[in-house]
Amino acid sequence: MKKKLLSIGLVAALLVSAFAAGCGKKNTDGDDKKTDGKVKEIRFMDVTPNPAREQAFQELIKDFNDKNPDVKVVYESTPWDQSHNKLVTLGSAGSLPDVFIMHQQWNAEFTSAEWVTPLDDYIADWKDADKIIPYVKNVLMEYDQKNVYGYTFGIPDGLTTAAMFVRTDWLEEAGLTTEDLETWEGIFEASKKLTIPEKNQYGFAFRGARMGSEQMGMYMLAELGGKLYEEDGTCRINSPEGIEAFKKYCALYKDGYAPQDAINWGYTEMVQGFTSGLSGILNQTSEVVATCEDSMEDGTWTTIPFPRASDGNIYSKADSYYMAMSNQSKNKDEAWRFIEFMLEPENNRKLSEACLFIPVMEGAENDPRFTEGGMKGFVDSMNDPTFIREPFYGYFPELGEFMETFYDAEVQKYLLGQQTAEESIKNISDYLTTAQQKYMQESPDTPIPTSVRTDGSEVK
Amino acid sequence: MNKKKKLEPHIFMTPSYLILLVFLGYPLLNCIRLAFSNYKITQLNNVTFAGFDNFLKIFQDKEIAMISLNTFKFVIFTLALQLVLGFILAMALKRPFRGRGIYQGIVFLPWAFSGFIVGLTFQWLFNAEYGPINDILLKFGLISEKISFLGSPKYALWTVIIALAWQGIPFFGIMILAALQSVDAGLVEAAVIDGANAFQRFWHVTIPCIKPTLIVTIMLRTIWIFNNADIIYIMTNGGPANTSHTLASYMFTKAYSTLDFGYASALGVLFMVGMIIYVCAFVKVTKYNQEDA
Repeated sequence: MKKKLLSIGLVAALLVSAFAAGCGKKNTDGDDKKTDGKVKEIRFMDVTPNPAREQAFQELIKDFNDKNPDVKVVYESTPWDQSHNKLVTLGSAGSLPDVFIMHQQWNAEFTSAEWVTPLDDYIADWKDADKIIPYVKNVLMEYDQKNVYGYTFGIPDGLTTAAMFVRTDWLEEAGLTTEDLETWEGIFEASKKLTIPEKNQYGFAFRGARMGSEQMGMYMLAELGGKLYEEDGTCRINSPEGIEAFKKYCALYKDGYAPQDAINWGYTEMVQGFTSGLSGILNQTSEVVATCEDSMEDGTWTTIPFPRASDGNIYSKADSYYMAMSNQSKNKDEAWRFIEFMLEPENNRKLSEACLFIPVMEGAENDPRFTEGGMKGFVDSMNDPTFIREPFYGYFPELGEFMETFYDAEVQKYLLGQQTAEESIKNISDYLTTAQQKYMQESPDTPIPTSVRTDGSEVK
Repeated sequence: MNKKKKLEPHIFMTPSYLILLVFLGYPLLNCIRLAFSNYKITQLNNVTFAGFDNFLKIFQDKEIAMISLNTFKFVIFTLALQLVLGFILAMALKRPFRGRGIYQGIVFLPWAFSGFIVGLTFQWLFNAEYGPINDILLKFGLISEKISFLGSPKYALWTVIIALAWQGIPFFGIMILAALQSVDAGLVEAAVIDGANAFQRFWHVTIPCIKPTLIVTIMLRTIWIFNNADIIYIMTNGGPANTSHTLASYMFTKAYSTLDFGYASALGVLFMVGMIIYVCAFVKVTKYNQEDA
């Protein structure tokens, strides 16, 4: 009986303490608010953290918090690999951060789920709106957002584009100069010449996995004149030119100008391949400049503009992460104030310097950090009058599945010899045609993905 | 009083019942509900009843046959490696020797690592260009040129099996060691007096004594291995060309790349049915319950 009493007592004590803890928390929360006055908390989440970037954010946030005593921005971050899953989970649970960094690729998902706030009313009153550089204003904001979704939901915070990282010492040994690498033909030729398997030296850092097919796609689309779909939504890659381009690019791997392991290479592996002296040419974005500066000897590498297609144009990409405001935010005005602050030209330059982005606000043209050294190849690509931004694969909801599980696998099957180039291309093309045509029926007002020039005009 | 007595254990179990209900019961039922719905995270305002559509989609998936076979290989070989090596580990640690405590602490470490770290470590070990495994094999003259373990459909799955086996050995070791230490020394002595040799003592005395532990451990591990997705996701991401995916990693990738949780839940429900059948059959075949009685 005593034991029974004791156990009942223990259970009761447990319940009481749990209850008390619950109440206690509420009480202290209430007290907090009282003592802090009307400080509103803004949760900000970064999705591609690295030490330099985090430091820049932390400094800017501290600056903002000091200047805005009624708002407190709290920094959160999640590693890039998990960021999509994390934001999707938070979104469906209704607890997205007030402001978050979002990737272009999530546009379709996040807008259709209504997780982002339309920002056009805020932009109308934005004092710095006229300082945004033309490509960002015309292409990333007008064309990509307003034109497709009818409203603006993300403010680009730093531009990144592709360029080729090359080993200048290897080029010299092979009797080549960077001018020989101005075109895709030149890249293929040089990859061949730079490959010396006995020395464990390969021409090209081939990315075979984890969205590697997108890099192949950049070349294939360039050779198709930047045109991915016909007017009726039929994909144009299943054509003699498409198949030829596909075979030509894949030959970089199949003919041995990249290590065999490259079929499993993602971002990390291909960058390591270049910095460790395994590969001579690397197609990458500007943040890799820092990695190269840290781990390679000066004078052994440089960046050159993205190669020209056979029609003489540079078909490439230039995107930015967006600062987006969650539709679930309870303090939207304060959240906008924070976005506005982050995009003040000086602040934007600070962040871009730390992250090796091209600033989105005017005034960086004279900063040597952006016009000399490793960044030069990128800025030159962007400034080229023939620069054309390649089309997206689509705005349809199947895009995530296509990019993450389908595209790579189909390309890999060809690389492994499990199916022919024609079969791979047919499967990829059929997938895109089906998805695009279905999407066109459901959303007839959304334009077909098209290549765009810097001034925002379409390549027809 | 009698009725009260019967109820008593249940009253005290109420907190655990509640926890089970909230953390297992609800997700389980919800998963079954999702499996029969068109449920895409991005279209939450458009959730409709789907009937068996999601299940049909699974069977129409061209990759599913290969991935099922992969899963089978993955579970069987990982389990076999873990069991055999875990047993050897337990036998080695059974008798006391100097420094056993420290040694035990070290060999049980892998169990404490997260799958993420194990995945990254083995990804590095198997790296074709710089990986020590290729280097060692080359130096011993076992291979003439580097093998791309992670990039080859022939080897990719095996690298994952080896990584997971390594991580799981200590668990078997701990469980079997505990069971071995509880084997009655008197029984072994009696067998010696009766003239049994080492093998006979092992087979007729030790094994029957530790059988319940073995059965439970094997059953648990099978389920855990079957559900393991993190190491695959990190080491190969299912590649090349899906050849190292298992059902669990495939489900994870599908769920988050398509955001089609209806389809992924249907896969999950199939998993559950499969696992229930397996557990029932396993318990029956091993006569686990009868042994107890």
